[in-house]
Amino acid sequence: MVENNSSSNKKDVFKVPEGYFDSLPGRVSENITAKAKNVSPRWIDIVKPYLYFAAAFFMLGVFIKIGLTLMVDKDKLHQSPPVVPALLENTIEVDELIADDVVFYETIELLQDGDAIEAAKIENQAIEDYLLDYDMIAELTE
Amino acid sequence: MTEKNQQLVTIDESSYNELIEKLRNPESRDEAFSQVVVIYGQGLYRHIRRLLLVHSDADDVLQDTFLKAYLSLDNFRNESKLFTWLFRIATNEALNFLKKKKRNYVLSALSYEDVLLESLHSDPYFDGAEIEMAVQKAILSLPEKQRIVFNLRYYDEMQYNEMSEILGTSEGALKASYHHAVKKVEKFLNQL
Repeated sequence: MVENNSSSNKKDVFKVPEGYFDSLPGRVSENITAKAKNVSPRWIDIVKPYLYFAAAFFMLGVFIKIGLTLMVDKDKLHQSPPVVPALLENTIEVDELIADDVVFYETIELLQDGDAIEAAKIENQAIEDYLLDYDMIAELTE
Repeated sequence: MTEKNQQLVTIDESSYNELIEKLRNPESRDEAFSQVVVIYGQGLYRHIRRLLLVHSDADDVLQDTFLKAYLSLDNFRNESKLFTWLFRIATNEALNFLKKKKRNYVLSALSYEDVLLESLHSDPYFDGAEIEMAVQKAILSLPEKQRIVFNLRYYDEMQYNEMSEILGTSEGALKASYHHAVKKVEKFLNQL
């Protein structure tokens, strides 16, 4: 029986009440009306629109954050080479120049000071002694 | 009293596409769904009935199948045929029904299959002689998956590729399953 797979050999032993299939669409429709259309909405169906809204809001926030980050980075990319180290270097040079000037002007001031000039006068005797020490007078008079 | 066995109803491609369009439209959905019941109702009923054997159980599961299908219409992507999609729902519903029924007989001396066979003897909607009863007994001895494969292949003469879509199993595995089922049924009948 099993080997012979022809339809003729397969008696349908399962019967149905008369008119069962004719009335099936109507009964299915009634069942759907009674159950499906009276089904209380699931909590997820109620919450779903709010979840979508929250997700959209979150994504908007993420996009704004990413956008701002990219804009800041872009500004940084277009900046000239670091200014601060250059300024510091220049500042040091300027400071050194200023310091040299201060020493120079202080020296001038000292030289302009009458007492200091007097103190700086070298006596003639001392010059002669120096020259004699190094036999320079003889060389000059030869 | 009885209705003639009918093969699964098939519709041409343009009518099928029109039906799908109507099902997608909320305004024409109910009318289109009634068409679906007319087209696929008998095939689905016989598929369920062969698994559950009892008419009232098959009717309950068929109603649940259509209810579930109606509620899930928005999830139907038309990637599989409506026919295989409905058969998949029907198979799952029937298996869940069997699982629930079997749970009631866990502590019983009788198995649910024994109870089913007993009920067939007195079922007014079972029109079979001793040999048909023996065949049903042999089919009931198969594991559930093999029973489904055997019924779909032997009675509905369904193609393996369609069975594969319904059951989510490879064609090779289905062929092997059917082969084992046939051998078991033959062995069972030879022992009588």
